[in-house]
Amino acid sequence: MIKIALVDDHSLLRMGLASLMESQGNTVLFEADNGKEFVNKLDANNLPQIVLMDINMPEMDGFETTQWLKQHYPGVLVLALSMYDNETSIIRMLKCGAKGYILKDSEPAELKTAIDNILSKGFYYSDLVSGKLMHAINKMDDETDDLKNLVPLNERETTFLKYTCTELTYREIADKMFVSPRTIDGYRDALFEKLKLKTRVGLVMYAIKNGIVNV
Amino acid sequence: MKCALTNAQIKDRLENSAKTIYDEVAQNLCLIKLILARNESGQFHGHNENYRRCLELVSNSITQLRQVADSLNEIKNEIQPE
Repeated sequence: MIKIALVDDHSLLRMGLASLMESQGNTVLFEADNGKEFVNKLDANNLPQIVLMDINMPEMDGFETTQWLKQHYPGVLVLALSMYDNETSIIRMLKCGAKGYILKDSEPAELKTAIDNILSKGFYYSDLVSGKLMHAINKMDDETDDLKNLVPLNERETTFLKYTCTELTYREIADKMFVSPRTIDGYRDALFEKLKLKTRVGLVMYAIKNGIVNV
Repeated sequence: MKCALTNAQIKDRLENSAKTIYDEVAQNLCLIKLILARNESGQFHGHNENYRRCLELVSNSITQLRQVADSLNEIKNEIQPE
């Protein structure tokens, strides 16, 4: 019996998936509306083996939550479950630590195969994901390719990057993030270094190009 | 051709429409697909021909909606600021 957690803000669909999981002989430990609720509900003494993780959620999205899990509970495996079939979402989710990626409209049998493969082999790449990965690898030769610039960012860096794309000054961002302006300077310089950028405009451009903020 | 909306308003509406398709309509169809996939005894197999046809229609609708939403997003990305 596989222990599973479900994270999705579409509550009806999440309940339907929970029912499907149970009909396939799995145990649904808990469900959460978003990443923040998931983190709060997580019990270190009774961890799920697999988390079915949506991407687009309020408060804390699937990218951030998967990255958080990778840092705090690397043994908990994430299967991304999304409506989005674009290359950027798939590759970004895999870079954040997801072990597989399937679409929400996949057949129940594919979901079962994905869970079984992740547990037995450590990963599951559907035809969709394999195709997108091959496409990305082929594009790697192109120096202008956006995917080459995708660098995994931690939770604080992502939050800082999102605030950078607002009208807030660095001092105001420091207040929002409950840190000193000096710490914010540290985040900014670390991102400049990591992303090979020099200006706030560059950070904003990076965030837009990689879907960290939407315009 | 004149348009009463600004480019920013058009972008907003396109984005919201694509978001509604992805976050609500298509996901509701995914749920319908899950419900249809269950037979009368609650199992996710052994359904009859009518169920299979409905499932196919729903699956095709999800694919088409995804294409519509992607097109809306593509158009949105092509609109330049005024």
